[in-house]
Amino acid sequence: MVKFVRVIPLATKVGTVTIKYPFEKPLVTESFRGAIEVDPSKCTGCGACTRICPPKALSLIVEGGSLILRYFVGKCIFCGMCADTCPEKAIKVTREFELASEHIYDLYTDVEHEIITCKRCGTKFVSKKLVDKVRSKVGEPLDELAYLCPTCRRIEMLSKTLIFR
Amino acid sequence: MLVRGFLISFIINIRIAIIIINNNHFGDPMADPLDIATIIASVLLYVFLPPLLDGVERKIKADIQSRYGPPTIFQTWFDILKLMSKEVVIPINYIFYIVPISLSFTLSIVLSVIMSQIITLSNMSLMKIISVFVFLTSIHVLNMLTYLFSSNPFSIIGTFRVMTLNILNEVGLALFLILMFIVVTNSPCSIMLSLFTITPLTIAVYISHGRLPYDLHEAEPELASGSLIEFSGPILGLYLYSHLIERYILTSLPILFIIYMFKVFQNVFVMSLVFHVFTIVLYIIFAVVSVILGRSKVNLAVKTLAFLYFLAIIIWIGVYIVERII
Amino acid sequence: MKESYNVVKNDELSSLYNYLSNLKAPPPTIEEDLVKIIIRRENLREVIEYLSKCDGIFLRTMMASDERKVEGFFKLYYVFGLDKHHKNIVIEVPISEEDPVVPSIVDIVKAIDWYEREAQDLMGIKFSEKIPHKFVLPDDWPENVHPLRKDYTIQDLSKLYKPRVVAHAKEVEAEAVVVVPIGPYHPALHEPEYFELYVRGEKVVDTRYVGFMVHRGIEKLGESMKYDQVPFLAERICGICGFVHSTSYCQAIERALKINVPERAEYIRSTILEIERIHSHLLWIGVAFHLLGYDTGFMHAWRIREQVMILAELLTGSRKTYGLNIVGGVRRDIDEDKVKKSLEVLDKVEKEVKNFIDIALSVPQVKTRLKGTGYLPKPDAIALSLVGPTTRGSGVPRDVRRDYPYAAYKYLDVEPITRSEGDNMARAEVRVEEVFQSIAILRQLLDKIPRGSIAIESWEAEPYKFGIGAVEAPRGEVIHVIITGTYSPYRWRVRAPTYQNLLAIPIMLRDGDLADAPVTIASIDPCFSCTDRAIVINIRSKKVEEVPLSFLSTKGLKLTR
Repeated sequence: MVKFVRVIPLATKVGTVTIKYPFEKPLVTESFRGAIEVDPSKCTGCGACTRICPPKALSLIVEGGSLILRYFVGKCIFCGMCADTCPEKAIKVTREFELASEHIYDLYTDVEHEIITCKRCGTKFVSKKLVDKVRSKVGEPLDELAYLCPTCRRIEMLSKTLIFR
Repeated sequence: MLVRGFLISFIINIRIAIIIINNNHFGDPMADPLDIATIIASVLLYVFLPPLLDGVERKIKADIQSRYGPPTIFQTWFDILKLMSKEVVIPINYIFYIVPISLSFTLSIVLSVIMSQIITLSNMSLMKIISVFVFLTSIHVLNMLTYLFSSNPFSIIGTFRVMTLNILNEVGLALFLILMFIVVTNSPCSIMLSLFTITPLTIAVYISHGRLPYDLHEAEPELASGSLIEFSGPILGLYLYSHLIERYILTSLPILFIIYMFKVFQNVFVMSLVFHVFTIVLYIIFAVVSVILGRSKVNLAVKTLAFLYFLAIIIWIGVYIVERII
Repeated sequence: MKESYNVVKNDELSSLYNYLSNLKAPPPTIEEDLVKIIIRRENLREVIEYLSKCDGIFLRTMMASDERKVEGFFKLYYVFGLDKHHKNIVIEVPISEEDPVVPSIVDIVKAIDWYEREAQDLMGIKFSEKIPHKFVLPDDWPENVHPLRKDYTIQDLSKLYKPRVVAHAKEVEAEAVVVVPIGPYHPALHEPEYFELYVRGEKVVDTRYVGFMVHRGIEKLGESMKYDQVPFLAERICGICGFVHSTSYCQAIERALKINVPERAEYIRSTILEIERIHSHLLWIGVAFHLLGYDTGFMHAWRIREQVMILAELLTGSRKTYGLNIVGGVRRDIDEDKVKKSLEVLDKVEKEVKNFIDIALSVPQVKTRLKGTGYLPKPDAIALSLVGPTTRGSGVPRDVRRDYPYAAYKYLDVEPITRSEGDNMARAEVRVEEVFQSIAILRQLLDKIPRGSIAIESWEAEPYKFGIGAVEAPRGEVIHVIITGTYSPYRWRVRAPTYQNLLAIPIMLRDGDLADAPVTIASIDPCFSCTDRAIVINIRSKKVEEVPLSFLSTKGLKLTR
């Protein structure tokens, strides 16, 4: 009949479960996914992460003569797909979640890369690191075409074929 | 307009308070300085203790719910002061809005004066008990006038609920107050009978507190704060404060009779202190009970209460007859 | 598999096949769990009438699709389900662009009402005998712009529709636009929707419901994202049952493209689904106690639930939006340590829940206010095709885990838990029992989890394939219907359980007390983020009306005496 009074001894046994955050540290397990960190030495500016990112928090822009990988924490959903997709394993998922700031520019992180200018038409199109990496893997056949943008590459290949004819 | 409204209600309040306190002497002899000092101390306790008790209650509630609750026990004081500092939003016919609420606040303070007088001077009379009851009822009626001021449907539904409950509960409260008075002022004070009177009186007092399971006027999930929906800023602060004082006064009623029965303390000051200490203990017991129960529905509440009071009266009459026979 | 169900009534199935083959239409495609037939709209009513007479048939969902580029028609897909035979029956009706009118079947199948209205709004298909009023879309949406048609891309739509407030603010050159919501916020309802209760004294005599205040256009958005990005979008359809939506989407794609998910991935998916069920039911119990005024119960229920949330974070990396599903499997593995930890946490939770529910359901106010209120009769539950604990509390044993087995439930036996009383207490008891059932299922799953990879290596996307994915969410049945495209879904339909269950609320509130309304509304466990539709039902006159939002928000509530 008075079974409901047993909630008092139950509460006494359990005690207080809340913590006085931010004066005490909150519980975060080891698998928690927080903001990401891009390692500038490993990143080649290939842009695979920007293509898979669901909310488009990572973007590749050409600004002021260099290629920039921009990470905007405000849009990030902390899924970690970029870390899974990066071919160089340059992205690490940290456990940071206290990301608030008073200035919005604190939320942008940039990784700068030196950009290649096409030898023929002068457009800037890809980072030097990526070209060097591809050259080191492919080797000889690529040398002439390595520093040309895709349009110029097609024109070059076409003109070569016509010359052979 | 605002200032004029508050001035008018202030003047009305002072006038009524003076009239009541003047008329309330009912031919008492002039008291000596210790008595006056005790009365003043008691009134100060009545006025300044309730918000502190509410803070303690919130801490206890949080403890039962495995959390921390407010950071200090003075939290309700801070809340009331904060509410007083907000902007006042009043309609054009402000008189009907401000006067009832400030009047009920004044009545609470007047009541505390009367109660302190009763316990210090040990002169309980039927007139005094009836006047206490009448003032309590007037406080409820004035509050309801304020709730009904807006035509908000939530407010109207909440008021109808609290009116239904109050009508039933005040019958019980009046009845057992008078019965208790009779039992206490009878020279051979029978313990048995007083037990059977004080229990229904305590229950009636608990219900007029307006706590769970009968806080129907303010059922937050159902009625979006029910009758309190239009209150804000200083008016809400005033209402809250007056409500807390009224609760404390109600809690002290049963204790008043108990102490009156066992008139052991000669020193008036000690008696007043013990009176307040027991009231605090009863208040905390009420607080614990309200945490472990849910909220009732108005039609269920009416049925339960009617049944309860009916049963209590039957038992009382039975015990009375048995005592008379023995 | 489930022999006991297949033995009976196999001849019924063959008589259905006979009927379908004898129609003047191309022969039906019959697969293991799917029967698809294309019929003309003139034959629609006749076929639906035949189907509705079959025993044990329920409407699962309906989808409208714009396939003018592919086949030259609009198409309507009606998905019915025969639970006992584990078969989906899909009726395809092509509709030409010049004359997009279809006969309405709402008098034969009551449950089709909202689906037809939605198709009317978003695809522009007219149903005869139906008043063309705005249902999903806001009142100031431009006329004759039907968003789900392929004529518009997401970028077009965001330029096309400017809410009135923004336009007016630009006119008066206001600096910042502040939108003040009037009406839809109430302490009893944790999401914005609008129930208008007509009361006489304390009795409820009439109900109006206006919703769709959080309609976000997810189905259209999904068409512009790639296949592997959509699970993250799907997970954010709901804040409590997100994983159900992403699993359902992945299953729909996997069915459409005939992808075989490795067994270990299926077990992991089922494990996380059951964990989600436990935390959702504990949340509901807490909310129900809060609505009854018993705040202590609320605090303790959520305290117990917290351990499940921490476990979910340990297993998946996030407390709620797990981000675990991709098409073809899962992204994270569960190793031995985590299995052991999970079993410890489950033991603790089971003991605490038993103890706590014992105490909480003995509080006199809770008992009297839950028993006998919000009664839902069984014939209504069947006629409206309700799902989840709402219908199981009225004695109808529907459960997707048994009727259309998916993931690891193919290897387990799940019996739906039912109660016959049909009141709020019955639904609460069903949910509590399901918590214990989930813990038992989890113990079985974690014990038998097989070795292997957690996702398939790679898969090819073929366009214009049809797939259905259904999952038993804590609130009922979630169905996703997919037509695949080359890089992203061509058409994606989401049907959340609350969409189906909201039709039950006027019936449950009828003749009840005003004080019971919040608990009754909460007892279907509404998840308006999943749902959002608008309807006005007058119970007495049986009329269905539309009320524009501006009217409601300025005129406010009215009371009838």
